[in-house]
Amino acid sequence: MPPANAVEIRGLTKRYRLPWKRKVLVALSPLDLDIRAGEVFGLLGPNGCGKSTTMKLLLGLIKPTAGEARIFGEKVPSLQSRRRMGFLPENPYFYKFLNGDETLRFYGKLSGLGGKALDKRIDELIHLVGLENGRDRPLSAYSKGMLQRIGLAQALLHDPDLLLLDEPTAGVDPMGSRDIRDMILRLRGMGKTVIFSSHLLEQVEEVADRVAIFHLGIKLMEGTLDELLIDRDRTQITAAGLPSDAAGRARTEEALRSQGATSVEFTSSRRSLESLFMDVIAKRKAEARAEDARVAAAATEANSRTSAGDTK
Amino acid sequence: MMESVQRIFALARITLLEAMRQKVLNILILFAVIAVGTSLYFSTLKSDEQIKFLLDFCFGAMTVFGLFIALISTAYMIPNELENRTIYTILAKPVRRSEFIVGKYLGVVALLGVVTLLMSIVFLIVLNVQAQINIASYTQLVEQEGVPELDKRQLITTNTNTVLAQAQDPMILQGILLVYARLCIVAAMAMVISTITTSAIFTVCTTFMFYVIGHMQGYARDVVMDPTEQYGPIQKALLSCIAALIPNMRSFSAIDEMVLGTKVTWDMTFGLLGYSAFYITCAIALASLLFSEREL
Repeated sequence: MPPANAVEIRGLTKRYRLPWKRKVLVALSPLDLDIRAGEVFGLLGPNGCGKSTTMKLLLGLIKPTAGEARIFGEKVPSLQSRRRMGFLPENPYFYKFLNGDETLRFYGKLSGLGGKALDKRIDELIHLVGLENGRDRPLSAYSKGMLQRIGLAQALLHDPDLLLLDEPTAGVDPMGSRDIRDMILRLRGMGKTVIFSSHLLEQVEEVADRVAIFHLGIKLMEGTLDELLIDRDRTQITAAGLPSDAAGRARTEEALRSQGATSVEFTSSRRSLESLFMDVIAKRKAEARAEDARVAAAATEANSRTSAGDTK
Repeated sequence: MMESVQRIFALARITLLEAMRQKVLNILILFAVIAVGTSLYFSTLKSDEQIKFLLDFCFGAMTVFGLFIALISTAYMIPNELENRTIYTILAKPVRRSEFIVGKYLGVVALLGVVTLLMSIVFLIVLNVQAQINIASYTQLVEQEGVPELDKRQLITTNTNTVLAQAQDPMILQGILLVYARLCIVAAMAMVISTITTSAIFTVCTTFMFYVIGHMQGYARDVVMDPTEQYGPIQKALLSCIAALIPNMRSFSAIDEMVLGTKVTWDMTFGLLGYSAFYITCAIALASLLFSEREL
C-alpha cells in the first residue's frame, strides 16, 4: 500500500557555523511536517524564513544538521526520492543558447528519458505549459513568464508525483501569475502533490489546501486555510439590495440584534485588485476582438459591394 | 548503467557547447591558432634548424594556450553553474554528483580535444609548408652551385628525404598526444580544486602553482624514497603530500627531448598516457568525493 504522506519530515534541522563571527546561524529549527499525497501545500514567510532551506534539504542540495525526511517513503537524499520529485527554483536560469525544445531534451536525458518517449513527453509538456511559440526560440529571447513555463515543463518531464515550486510567480506579470496558479490547480487535478512558496498571500489562499507559516527558521503554524482563517465568533453576511441610508441600516441592525448579534458592522463589498485587473484586461481583449471582427466584416462587405458593382 | 552513461554524455555535450560559446575561450582558441599559423614568419634561423624551431615553437604555443584554455574552462565551470543556478535544476534530477563531475570533466576533455586538433592541423600545415620552402631553396642553391648532375640529384634527394623525415616524423603525433594528456591532467587538477572553492581565480592560481610544482615532483619523490636524506618530519610530510597528490609534470619533458632529436618510443608514450589516465581517474574520483559533500 503506498504511503499516505507524500512528505514526512522529522526534526529536520539546518544550522550553519560562521567561524569568523563565532556564531551559529539557524536556517531551520527542528521541523516536523507531514504533507499528504495529492494536496497543494503552501510555505509562507518572509525572506530568510527557511522555505528555500526546506526545499533544498528535500532535494539533497544541502545536508541536514539533524533529523530526516522521506518522500513517498524514500529516504532523502537519494536517487529514488529525486525520481519522484520535480523542482522549479526561484528565478530559474537555463542555458540561454538552447531553445525550448533543446532545453527539455537535455533535462529529459538527465531524467533517464530518450527516443520517442522523450519526443512525445516534450510535445505534451510544450502544450501543457502553452509554449508552442517558444519551442524553437533560444531561451535568451524568452520573457520572465516564458522562463517560468519552461522551468515548470522541465520539472514535470519525468512525470514526478511531487512538485517543489520555489516562488513560482516571482517577477511574473499578473496574467502569467494567474496562468501558473491555474497550472497548479490542474496539477492537483492530475493527482500531483505540490509544495510551493510564495509572497503573494492572496494567491496562496486561492490554491493551497494547507499552509505552514515560517519565521526565522521556525514553523509558527500549520493547517488548512479554514482552520487558520475562519473566525467562528464572527459571521459575514453579503447581501445585495439592502437600504444604504441611516434609517434602513438601523432597521437591519435591529433585526440582526434581535437574532442575538452583539455587534454589527456595515461595510460596502470590495473586490480584490487582481480581480479588477483581470476583468479590465479580459474586457479590453474582448473589445479588441469585437473591433477586429467588425473591421473584418466591414472589409468583407465592402469587397462584396465592389465585386457586385464590377459585375453590373 | 545505460541511464548513467546517458546522463554523463548529456552533461559533457552541454559543457562543450557552452564552452564553445564563451567569448574568452573563443578568443584564446583564435590566438592559439594564429600563433601556431604565423610561426613561419618568426623563424630567422638557418634552414636546417627551422624545422626544429617550428617544432619547439608550436609545441610550446600548444602547451601555453592549451594550459590557459584548460584552466579557464574548468575553473569557471562550477562557479558559473552556481551563479546561473542551472546546477539546482540539474542536481534536482536523478543525477549523482559523481555523474555531474565526470560529465563536466569529459566536456572539458572534449573541448581540449577540439582545441588540440585545431592547433595540430595548423601546426602540421605550417610544418609541411616550411619543409617545402626548405626543399625548394636547397634545390635552387644546388642548381646554382654548378654541382655535377649525378651528385646534384643525389644531394637534392638526400636533403628532401631528411627534411620530409623531420617534418613528417611520427614522433610529432606522439608529441601532440602528450601535450593533450598534459592538458587533461591540468584540467583534472583544476576540477579537484574547483569542488572545494567558490572562487575561479583561486582555482586558476592554485592549479597553476601545482602545475609548476609538478615539474619538481620528481625531486620530492626522490627525497621521500631516499632513507639517507636528512629532513625534518614536517618537511618530509610536505614532500610526501607533493609526491602523492601532484602529478609528475617533468615526465612530459619527453616532448622537449623529442624536439632536440632524442628518440621517444611508443612504449614510453603509452606509459605516459597510462600514467595520465591513472592520475586523472584518481583526481576525478577525489573531485566526485569532495563535491558529494559540498553544500549548494
